[in-house]
Amino acid sequence: MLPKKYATTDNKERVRVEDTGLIKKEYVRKKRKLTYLGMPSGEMRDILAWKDYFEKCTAVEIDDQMRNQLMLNVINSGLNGKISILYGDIEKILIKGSDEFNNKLQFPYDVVFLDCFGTIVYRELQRVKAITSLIEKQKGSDFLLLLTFNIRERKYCDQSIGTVLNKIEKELLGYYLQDDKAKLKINKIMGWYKADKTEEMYRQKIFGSYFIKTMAEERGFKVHVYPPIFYLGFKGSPMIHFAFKLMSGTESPTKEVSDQTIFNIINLNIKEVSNGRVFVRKQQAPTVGM
Amino acid sequence: MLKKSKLIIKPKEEYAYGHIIKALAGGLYPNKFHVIREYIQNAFDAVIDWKSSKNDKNIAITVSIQKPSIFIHDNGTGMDRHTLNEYRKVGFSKKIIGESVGFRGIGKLAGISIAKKLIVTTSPFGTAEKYTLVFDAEAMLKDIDELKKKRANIPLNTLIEKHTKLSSDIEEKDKHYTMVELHEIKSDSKILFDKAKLIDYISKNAPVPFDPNFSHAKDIEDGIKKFVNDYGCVDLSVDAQKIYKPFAQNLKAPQLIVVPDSKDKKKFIALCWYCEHQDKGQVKPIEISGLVYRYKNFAVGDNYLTRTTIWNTSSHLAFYFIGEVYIIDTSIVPTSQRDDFEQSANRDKFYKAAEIISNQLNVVARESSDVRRAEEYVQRGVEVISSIDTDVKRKEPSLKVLGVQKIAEIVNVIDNIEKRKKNIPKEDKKTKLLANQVVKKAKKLLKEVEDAGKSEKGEFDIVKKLKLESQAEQVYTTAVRTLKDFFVENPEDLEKALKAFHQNLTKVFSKKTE
Repeated sequence: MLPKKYATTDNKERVRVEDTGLIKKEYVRKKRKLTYLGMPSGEMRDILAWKDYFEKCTAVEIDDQMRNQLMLNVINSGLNGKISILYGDIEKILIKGSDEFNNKLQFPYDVVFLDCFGTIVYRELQRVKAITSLIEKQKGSDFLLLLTFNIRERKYCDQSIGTVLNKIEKELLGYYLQDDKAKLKINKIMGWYKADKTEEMYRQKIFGSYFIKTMAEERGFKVHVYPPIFYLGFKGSPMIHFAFKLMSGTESPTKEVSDQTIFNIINLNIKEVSNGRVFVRKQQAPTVGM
Repeated sequence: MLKKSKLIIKPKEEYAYGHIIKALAGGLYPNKFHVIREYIQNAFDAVIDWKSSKNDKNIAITVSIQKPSIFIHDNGTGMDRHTLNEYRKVGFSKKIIGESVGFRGIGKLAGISIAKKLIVTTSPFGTAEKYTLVFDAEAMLKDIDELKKKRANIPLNTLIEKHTKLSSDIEEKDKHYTMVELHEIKSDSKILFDKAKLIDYISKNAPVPFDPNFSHAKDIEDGIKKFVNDYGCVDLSVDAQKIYKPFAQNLKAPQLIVVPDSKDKKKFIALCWYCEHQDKGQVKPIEISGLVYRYKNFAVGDNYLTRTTIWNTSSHLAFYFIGEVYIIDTSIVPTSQRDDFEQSANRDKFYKAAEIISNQLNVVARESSDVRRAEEYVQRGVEVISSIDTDVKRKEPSLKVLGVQKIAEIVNVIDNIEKRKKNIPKEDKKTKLLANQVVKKAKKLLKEVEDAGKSEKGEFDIVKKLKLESQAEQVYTTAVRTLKDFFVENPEDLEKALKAFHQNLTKVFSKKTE
């Protein structure tokens, strides 16, 4: 057992349990141990929790001290040789495919977990480029993509999210060219998402889900989006956790079409983890019907 | 009576300055792999200490290459805060000569010569804390250089205090370990990232076990344990790959030689084990042949050191063996670079006494060479006799022409085997019997060949057999003479040419006479 100091929040632990179910399913489906790419930090709790399902892991760490601690835990846990550490900024590494010491990412991975500070549009779209690069490099291989972001104030990402919300609205309206009543309803729902008083988690939910889904479909994957999970992390910081299953498509020249439609994505309930319990939030965003 | 003098220490006076660190960083380890060995030594002392105090056999040293760093971890005793603080003291060690592998208190800082930072993290058993000491080597060396430009010198204490940081954190109480991170290996030491070379170095130099695939491993280890009390080895892995000592194939059973003290014959100062190569020549690959000194099971020097220190004559014979010489006498101490032992009267005495090893091995090598030669002559004899016997049975015409040469070959076979028969080991009855049979057969054959040569009118005379006319006979004789001159250096080819010549003659002239 790790010392108390390193104990993460109960909420995060509970989210990890949710992910364990998904990882186990992948392990059973693929009938082999999996490869993992992530940012497990010094305590490497993710790796310790999932080590039975993993054959090889790549851990990315930018901080010297954390890296030292990570290595100590790797050896003390008898995992030396199974984990390689890349040193630096995850986004730069995903874009370049290697760190500044020429340690290379070993694509493809079965599980990728990006536990990031800020939202998807953090740092002038560098994160978007990084995730796009990851999906391109994973082409042809099914994988589970886990993403955790902290929900920052709206001012940091309002413009980008606003653009995507407009895009979603336009796409939805495309289904109801002749139905003014439905159009009005869609305008109303999207208006709700764009409203100042709407909690950021709902906007992040459709933004994150839609972004990954459309981007991965354009790159040859069918995508299944699991209900995002909202929780309060370290020092009460609001977090949103996504899980996507990306399945390699049929090499179609046009984009892949996932089983889940845009309506399914918008209508996904947000789950919440609180006091170590997972439940569907009572309050949800308005749903759209087709 | 004289009064006891008081030792006066001026508290503010400095006796050591920063350049000592530069000297340590620059000159002590021209071979970068020696730096890794220094930390493996410390790790080994820690695990052996743990093993003996807790009777815990589950000890291990782990080396991990994670560019740009290298980590050396052990699950030994670990250090408490006070001991880790002492890590900062240059040339300070509480270890005792002869008890521990390292004892100078210098090797622990070897890392500053190859890495930008040296980070030591440790936790002793029973303490719910871990401690981390960071040596900022890069900043330290930069500081020295900057000051030197201003003709300034920084006292060693000030320098170390300025560029080291000791911190603590919580840890599980039952954890015990030390991990050294050579953080950001410098560009001139990148060879350390070559995993194959690092493994090769560690396998030859560190106290790792004998390879379980080496058939003589157990016998050798049992032998060593009888004489070398402090013999120990440790599970050592590099990136999860277990490292073993290298070994060669096709070796004879291991033998031991104890080196007694020249004055007290009951006291042993070293033990040598060796295996001789089963086949002819040196043990291959040459890098692992010969003998290597081991002190606390760490290598001292390489396989050439024994050649130059205990072989006075025929030193090439050292490489006909593979083995180790374990130092038992703890007064014989390796140099800090471990390329030799420290110059001392004890070392000279040891080298002299250890000549017993080279003397014995030279004898063994020569005896083996004699045995091999005898066996080779018997085998060669079997081939020669069998070939001539076939010719005799076939009434081969060339025998007449080559009679003298064949006789010489048979005589040589008899002579060589008779002379070397005594070198065949008694227990090798098969070869002895074969030697006797070959000689007997050769003697019988000798007579037959001699008779064949004598019989002018015999069937071997192809001139008569083919009823050659005088002109043809002259051509034949000239052709044979020419062939003999041409192949004078190569009797085997002459024989082949003559056989072919006779066959063709027989073919042509038989048709003609039909």
